[in-house]
Parts: sequence; structure tokens; C-alpha cells
Amino acid sequence: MKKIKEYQSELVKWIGLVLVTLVFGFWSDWNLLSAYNLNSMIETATPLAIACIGMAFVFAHGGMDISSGAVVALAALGAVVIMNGTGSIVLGVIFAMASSMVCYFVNVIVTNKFGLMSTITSLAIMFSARGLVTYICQNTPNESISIANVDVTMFKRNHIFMVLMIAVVMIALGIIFNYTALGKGARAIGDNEKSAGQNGVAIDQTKILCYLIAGICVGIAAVFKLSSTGMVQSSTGNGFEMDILVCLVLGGMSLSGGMGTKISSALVGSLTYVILMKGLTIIGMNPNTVILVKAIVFLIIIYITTQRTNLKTLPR
Amino acid sequence: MEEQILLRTLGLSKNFGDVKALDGVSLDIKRGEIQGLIGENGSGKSTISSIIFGIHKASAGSMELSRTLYSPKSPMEARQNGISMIVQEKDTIDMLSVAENIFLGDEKEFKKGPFVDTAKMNAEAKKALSDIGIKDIDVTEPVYRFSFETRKLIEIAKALYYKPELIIIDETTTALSQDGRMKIYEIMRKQKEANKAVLFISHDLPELMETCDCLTILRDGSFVKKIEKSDFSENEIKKSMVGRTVSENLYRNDFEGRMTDKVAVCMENVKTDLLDNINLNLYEGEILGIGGLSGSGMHELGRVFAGLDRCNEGEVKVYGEKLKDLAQALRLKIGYISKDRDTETLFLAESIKDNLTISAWNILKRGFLILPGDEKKFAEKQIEELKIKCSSGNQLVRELSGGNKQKVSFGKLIGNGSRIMILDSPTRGVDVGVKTTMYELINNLKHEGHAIVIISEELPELIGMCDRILILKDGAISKEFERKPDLKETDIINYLI
Repeated sequence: MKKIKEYQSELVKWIGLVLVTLVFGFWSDWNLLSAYNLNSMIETATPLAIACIGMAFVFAHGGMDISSGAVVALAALGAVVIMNGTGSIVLGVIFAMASSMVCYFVNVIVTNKFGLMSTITSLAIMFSARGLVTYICQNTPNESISIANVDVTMFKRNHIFMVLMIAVVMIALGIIFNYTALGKGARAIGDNEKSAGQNGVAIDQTKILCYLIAGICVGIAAVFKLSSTGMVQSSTGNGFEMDILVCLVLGGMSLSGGMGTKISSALVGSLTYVILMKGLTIIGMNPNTVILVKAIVFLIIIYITTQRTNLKTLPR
Repeated sequence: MEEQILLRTLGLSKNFGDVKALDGVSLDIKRGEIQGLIGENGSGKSTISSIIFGIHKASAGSMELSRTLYSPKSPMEARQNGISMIVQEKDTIDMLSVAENIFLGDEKEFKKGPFVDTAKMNAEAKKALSDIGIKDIDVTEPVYRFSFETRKLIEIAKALYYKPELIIIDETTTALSQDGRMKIYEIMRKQKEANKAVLFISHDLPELMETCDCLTILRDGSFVKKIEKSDFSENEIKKSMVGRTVSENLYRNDFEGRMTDKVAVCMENVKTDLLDNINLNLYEGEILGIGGLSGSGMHELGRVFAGLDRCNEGEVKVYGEKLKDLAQALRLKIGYISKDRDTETLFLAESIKDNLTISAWNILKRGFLILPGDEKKFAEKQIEELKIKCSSGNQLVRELSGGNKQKVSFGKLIGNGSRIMILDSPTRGVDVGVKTTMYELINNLKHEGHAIVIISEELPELIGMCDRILILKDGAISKEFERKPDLKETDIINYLI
């Protein structure tokens, strides 16, 4: 019984995932789990889950980010230009990750230096990145740049590769998050920055590394996003940042961070979210109504988490 | 003379958690009287005044105002009952104008339709200021443009505007120049002449003896005695402030002095905003005590030791190496427990295990990884050695008592192998039983060759535990005492005040 209590929050989110699957599976006559729908869900889940897992490091230390959608667009734009120019996927992927890391590096440096709220800095990054992408796209003939003469099938159709990617990111970052001074330090900062500092956590350095990890993950997500549509336009990545927020909250992550933050929240949350959205579409809900449902789910979960911890759950 | 009593407290008590800040204090404040209130830090002066002013609620006891029951729920209510207070800390809002500050919370007095009649408010503010003899202030200016002293005078104008029957002045004069002090004395005198009352709290004994008609002495939250002006004697008052009885065996009994002559930390001409030209050595195998009143810079000195505050001038050398920042202090094995351990040292919302291991990651690390098994073993060892009372290492620290929380803080320092330990108010809010354990522990650490600094507001603790005691006053070392059997609090207190 004591054990159950200890793992209560862990259990709740897995039960949530199973419940959502069962409800919509039953509702859709198990159409939800058809090969076609499974593949399509994997395609949606891959960039989302990878970005969420990286973003867990930002949220764990009490940071908050709403720039990921715009960063995805910028990174994808860079990647497509490099790929088309050099014909190399690898260079494209590296460039995507690098440009995304630069965005997050600027973000954390500005936040640290000027003592701003991380949300505000990320808002500035969001407008800059989105503005740049829109400006460049509008000056191209089709108002978009498509992938030419490079084969990105692996990122688009290879579902085993996708699942493997999620697994690798999850395991690697899971170990860093739970069993290294970096992950533990980040969570300690989320709890009490002052104490963390006096106990020897290198505050600025830890925050920078957390944002760089998030940057790598968002960069990878950008490549998957780019490959699935085959092009970049001014609306690429729109709403991605909010999807990430909903996923993390759905997975039970405390938005103020802290030692109790679980990285599994990122994975479970994004899977639950993808199944929920797919399920709603299959049962024939109007796409505009789906957004409303998203909002309601978000509010309910926030309410529940605030009640549960009865502590601050919103970022500073 | 019974009808002359304005305010009477009957057995007022106040607990903050486990700590008894005020213990059954009864006192009378008469009309036409300036009553002084004196006592060491933590004697309950500010607590009792904040209860009278409705900031805190008493845990037990009652108050009578002009012979009717009085229990204010807020400062607003206290003011309606004719009681005003000038607090110790800054109490103005920087961006608001002088007039807005004076009438903060009372804007409805100047209502003109849905708006505030600013012109009328400014005129009233000007009047309030000139009532206390200040004429050259533009009341429409925001207060941050004025000096600290002027802001205090603005607070005084606010306190006096409603013509209070009783005005409480809490350690305000220390912040003022001679000129400002004279203004306050003048106000107090007028208050007395109008057959009203003043409760005046100060650390400055000569000032109190000069201005007050009688003096109430508090000690450890209890009433000691009330002395009339005719019986004022500096020595008598000082003795009453410190004359507590303590069980002898609480502290160490030896007088052997420090173990080695090896200097661990050396400060040379250290100056910060608060500290003035500090020179000291801390040796291995020594317990160095630092005492003083709040505001003397003792806590800041602790932060300088820990690398948290940087010096403007001079330098701190740790084993000959110049101390630059916190990270280096930790590398040099300096451990620090803040006086605000709940917000600066501990993670209240986390388990004992997480709290103990966080400062020892470098030791627990295997390659890159910190494994849960190692953490558990490490935490269990500390819990056992320090006899931390808990259900398991997974219990949250916020559920522990003050004493056990402090044991966790100690565990951090011991666990990460700190050689130099800076303990700021190590027994604050700790009950006697745990205190004894801690004193034993500190003494053992000394014998193992640790260099230890105890910063404390409690003189008996310093006398009982330390090989040397440095007394700080106004940021400078005013006196150094060696450990000896016949060292008394009364010897020290002269250098404190």
C-alpha cells in the first residue's frame, strides 16, 4: 500500500494513457489501432515526444518556453536550404540542431544576464524566429521552400526508425535527467534556486546546458516536421509550443519544476495527447472543436495538478 | 491612578512554530508616559509591539485599551483605535508620491465621485508633514527621490496624522542622524505633554535612559522588570537584560583552547557595504564565535566566509588561496549553514535523502552517474550518525521538527567532507534536547580538526562553546574574548551596545 502511494503520480499517468486508448479504441471499433492509424500516430508523436523530452529539462528547473514552434520553423528552414544546397541530409540535420541550439542559447543567456522571466525571453525569440522565417518565405516564388533532390523517406515513412529515435532520446536523456549532477541540479534549481546555489549547484551553467539539450531535441523535431510536409512555409510549426505544453501537463509535469519532476511525464503525456487527438478525429469530431477540447483538457489537468500539489505550479 | 492606564497587556504569549517568541508578558502603558522597551535580539520586543499594532495575533493572553477589551485584527483596526507604529524596516512604497504614501489605505477619505481628490490629499499631506516640523518637501514627488532619513520622517508623519493615543516607535532612531533624532524626541515629548503615550524600542541604552520615564526589560520572551527613571542605572539594566540561568552541562566543559596553530581562513582589511576593516584568523581545530546585535554585520561576515558576498576591499585567504566566489569556497571545503536555513540551505518540499545527497554529488559520482543505491546508503549513514528522527530517508524535510531540520543541514556539511564550517545561528528554533546533541557534535568536529565559526545572537551559546569570541558592532570588531571559565555575559554586553 505504501509502495502504491509512493508511485501514485507515476501510476496515474500510465492509467490515463491506457484509459484514453481503451475508450477511443472501443468508440472507434478498434479502428484507432489499425496499421494506418498507428503509423500516422507515430508520425505525429515522434517530433512531439522528442521535443517534450528535451523541454522537460527546461521545465524541471523552473523555466518556461513558448518559442519552440518558431524555432522549429527556423531550424527547418535552415535545414532545407542546406540540404538543397549540399544534397546532404546529415549536414541538414546538423544545421537544424545547431540553429535551434543557438536560439535556446541566446534565450538562456538573455534570461540569466538580465534576470528576465524565461517566458518573456522566449516570447522575444519566438517573434524573431517567426519573423525571419516569414520574411524569407514571402520572398520566394511559392511563398515556401520545398525539399528538392534529397530523399528524406527515412524521416517520413520509416516508422521503426521513428520509434527507435524516441527510445534512444528517452533513454539517453532519462539517464542524464535522473542519474547525473546535471539533471539532479536542474531539478534542485526548480525547487529552490537559492538552496541549490548554496549546496554547490552551478546555477548558470546548469541552466545553459538544460536549454542546449532542449535545443538539440527541438532541432531533431524540426527535421521530422520538415520531412513530413516536405517544405517550409511561414506557418510551419505553428502551435507546436502549445502542443508541447499540453503534453507535459497531460503527463503530470509540475510547471514550476522541482525534484519531483519526472521525465517520463514528457513521453507518456505526448503519447496520451496524440492518441486523444487521433481518437477525436476518428470519431468524427470537427477539427475546430478539437482545439476547444484541447483547451478544456488543459484547464482540467492544470486544475487537478494544482489541487494535488497544493503548491505553486506556475513558473515564476 | 488606575484610570491613567491607556493600554494593558495580560499574559501575552506568541509562538512561531516550535519557538516561543513571547511568554506571558503583562505590562501597563500609562498616559503621559514615554515607556522604553529594551532587551537582546529575540527577547520579544518587536513581537509584543507587532501584537499591539495588530500585525500578529497573540497565541494567548489579552489586551485592554482604556479598560475595554482590545484585540486588533489588522494594523488598520489598531489605527482606528488610536494606536500607530513606526516599524523597524522600510515601510514606504518607492514609486508612490509622498502624499500617496501617507494616505495609503485611506484614499476613501479624499473621494470625489469615483476619483481621488489629489489636490486635497496633497494639501493634507503637506499639513501632516508641517505638523512634525517638516516644510521643505514636495509631496507630489515619489518617495524614492528622498533619503532614507526623510522617508522615515514621512512614515512618522503618517503615524501621527490620526493623532494616536499611543505611538510605538520600533528601533527607528538608529537609522537617523542627530537632527532626525531630535525631531523624534520632540514628537515624543509633545505626545507626552498631550497626556498621550509612547512605547519606544531601541538598542541605544543612553538614548533610552535620556528620553524615557520608565523602562521595561524583556528577556527570552519574558518580562523581567520595570524600572522607573529615578532608579535608572546602566549596569543594573544591562545585568537584567542578560541575567538568565542556564543549565551548565548544556555546553562543553573544557577550557583547552584551539587544537592547532594552522590558519585555515585569514581575513585582511575586509570591507563590504556593511563590514568595516575586518582582520581575523580562523584556525584548524578551533571554534570561533561571532556575536553582535542584528545590524552589526555578523551575518554578512558569515556570507563573506562562505564566498557568497564579495569584499569591496581587502581579501579573504583560505589556506593561502584568495577566496573569490561560492564555487571556489565549496572546492576549498567550506560549508555554510545560513540563518535562513529553510529558504537558503534546505529543500523543504523534498526528501531527507535528496537533501543530504545534493551537496555530496561529487563524492557519490561514479563516472558521470549518481546511482540511487549509493544515494540511499549515503543518506542512511548520515541519518544514523546524526540520529535524525524520521520514518525513512524518503520523508519530506518540511515534516521534520526544527531540530531535525537543522540536523539535516549539518548532515550536508559533514557528508561532503567540509573542513571549514560556517554555522549561522545553528540553534535558532531548536529545542534544548537537540541543542545538546549539536553542541556535542560541534565539539567533536573541532577535535577532528575542523575549523568552525559559530555566528550567534545568543551570548551564553558563544561563551559556552567558543575558543575565541569576536564581538561585532557597526560592522567592525569591537572586542575579542578568549575562552575562560569566568567570562560573563555582562563583560561582553558593553561591547555589544
